[in-house]
Amino acid sequence: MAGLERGAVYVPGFRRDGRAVGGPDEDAFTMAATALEGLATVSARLPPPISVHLVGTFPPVVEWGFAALLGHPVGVVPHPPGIAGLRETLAALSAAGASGPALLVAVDLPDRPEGGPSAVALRFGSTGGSAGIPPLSGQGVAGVVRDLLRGLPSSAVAESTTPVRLAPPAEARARAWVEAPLGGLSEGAYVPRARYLENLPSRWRLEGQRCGRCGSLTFPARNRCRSCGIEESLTVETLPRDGAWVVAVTTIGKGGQPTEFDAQVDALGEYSVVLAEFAPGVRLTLQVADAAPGEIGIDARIGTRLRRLYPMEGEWRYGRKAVPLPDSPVPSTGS
Amino acid sequence: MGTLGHRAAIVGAGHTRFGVLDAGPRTLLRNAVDGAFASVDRGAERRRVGEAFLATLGFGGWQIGNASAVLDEEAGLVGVPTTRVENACASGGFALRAGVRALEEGRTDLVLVAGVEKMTDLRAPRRRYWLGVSGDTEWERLAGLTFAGVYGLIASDYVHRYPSARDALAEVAVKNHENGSRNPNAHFQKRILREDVLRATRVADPLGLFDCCPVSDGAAALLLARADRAREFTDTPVYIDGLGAGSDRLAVQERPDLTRFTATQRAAEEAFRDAELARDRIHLLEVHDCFTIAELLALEDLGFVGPGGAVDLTLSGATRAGGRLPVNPDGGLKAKGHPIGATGVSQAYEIFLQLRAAAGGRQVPGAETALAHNVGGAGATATVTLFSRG
Repeated sequence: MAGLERGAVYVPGFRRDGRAVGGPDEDAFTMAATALEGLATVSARLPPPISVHLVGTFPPVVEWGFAALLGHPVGVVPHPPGIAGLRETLAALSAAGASGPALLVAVDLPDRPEGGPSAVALRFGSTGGSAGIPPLSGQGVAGVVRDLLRGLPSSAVAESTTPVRLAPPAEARARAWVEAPLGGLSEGAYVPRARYLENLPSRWRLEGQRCGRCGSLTFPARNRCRSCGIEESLTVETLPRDGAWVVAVTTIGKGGQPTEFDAQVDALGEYSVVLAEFAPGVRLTLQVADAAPGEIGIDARIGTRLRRLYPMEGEWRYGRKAVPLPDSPVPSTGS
Repeated sequence: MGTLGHRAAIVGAGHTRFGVLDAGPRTLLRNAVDGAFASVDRGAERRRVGEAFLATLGFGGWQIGNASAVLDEEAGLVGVPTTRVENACASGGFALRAGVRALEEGRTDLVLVAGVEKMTDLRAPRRRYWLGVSGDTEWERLAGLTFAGVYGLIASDYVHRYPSARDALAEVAVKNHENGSRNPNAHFQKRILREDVLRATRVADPLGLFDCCPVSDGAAALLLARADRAREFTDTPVYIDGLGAGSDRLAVQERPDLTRFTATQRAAEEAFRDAELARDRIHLLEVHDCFTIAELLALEDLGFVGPGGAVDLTLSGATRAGGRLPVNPDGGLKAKGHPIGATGVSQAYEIFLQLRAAAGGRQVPGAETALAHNVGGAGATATVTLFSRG
């Protein structure tokens, strides 16, 4: 039998009928990604799972998205949503217990209580030290998930939340953005799909490259040291997801956005963009999510979360956005 | 090469009105080139032009490739080897540089340098095409930035360091609009008040509408001659004495300091070394003020003041038309307009007028030397060119 090793939950910041739901730039994939990243915070080393079992309704991106997110090939096993899917998944994990580590990701738990998680990631291992699968007496998906999490020591469970401090955006307008046809047009330059995919190690996993000769860190990775120019002895180094500092911030007025963001601005209004410093000389430009325009100022600390960016070439493009951290200082000026 | 250290000479220059114009790119080019030939005091036969350079970013979909042939047709130069130069907003500066180099190589003794952009004939959403095609596409654009946004980030850092900079940004806009009011070719010929700048619609905080140059149509053209042949064409050539150029990383997120354009710094060092001229000998500047913040950065990167020094220099009035260092007497990109490929050529046109004391109501008295500074994107490419009236 597969042993349950770790768990992570994600509670998004919006409430509908009392239950936590994702914001307009979140979907099952981004919420699962946020929960999965929580698993890494309770384990410095997360050996590759061989399969990812999904309970819920996911966008098509998962076929390759979890592999890109985790940085290694995985088999993705879809299961029906609801308790039937969850029981099927647990049965499959038990049956395949000896074949290696696996992840269970459940989203949009239909019967979750108020304030309960929208996304849960559980890691199962096949070797010693595991807690086994505990007795499952709870009712429905949320109850079973709760039982699973209770079977773990609290140090093996990570919880990430989005602060509940934004009024939900006007539903109809936000839905118009989320449900718009995925054609996508850019009036001018844009990033073709192949270039988008090429950059995912840096864009999603925040991978840079440390030079073995001069020691400098190149981010985004370009398979060449930006200081000394060599292409050998580069080792992957991952930037911390949370804790970068804002060195510059601007709020884009209506009409000042690239056309890819027109529908978003129509639905949700103005947005801010920050330049965040992850390490000396290692900076990344990020759109701000989960905060009002101007709320994040220079010197604030930010986290990064995978979110929807915009639809293009028939699919949603995903990337990291900056989110406020709970202990981020209040900026002295609104800038 | 050259005469008395001069690299080359401008012997004729032409310029269209900048703004939202009915004329298409062919007409704009023809008018600017005709103006350049007509301005040559002793005349210049078109067949003497041995090479031509065209600065343009593009035509928004009309004639994206091979625009050189369009220039040749409109200039009456079919058959002449012509090269289109594209370094975004610095295309004009780099085309001028290429023209001087062609003369120095001895391939010809008369060169045409023209710049054009037709930007306003696109439907409304596509008009924003121009704003975000020359920056970093993969990272900065995907975060939701166009050029205004990138310069907004730069300005936020600058204002954070120098809190009175917000007033200096407004002063740049007020000054350049006032200068533009004296330039009949300018896109904007109306003065504005400080309050207009500070209350304007937000474009990319802290930059508002009046901190941004407009999207303009227009063309400019120069006839360059070998320095030792210049007086065959005119008694009052304007000489090019120093050439400098530089480049930087495309994405500002990959630069250690947002408030320094090292491409400008490098170009300035090269140009001043080339001309063996000190900065205090320069009488007027044409700098690349695509956004008000860019004029402040330029004054510092060109070496006229140290970091942060542009705030006090600007607020002191020194850069106004009657000040000790007039900057952008033609209104700059801010008020004159910014038809991308034409801009660097237009700067040299203004200097051609100023150093020949032909700038009319905006003449800088006694101007004998000048500097032109042309930037591509948010500082990824830059040229600095030094001029004298010989």
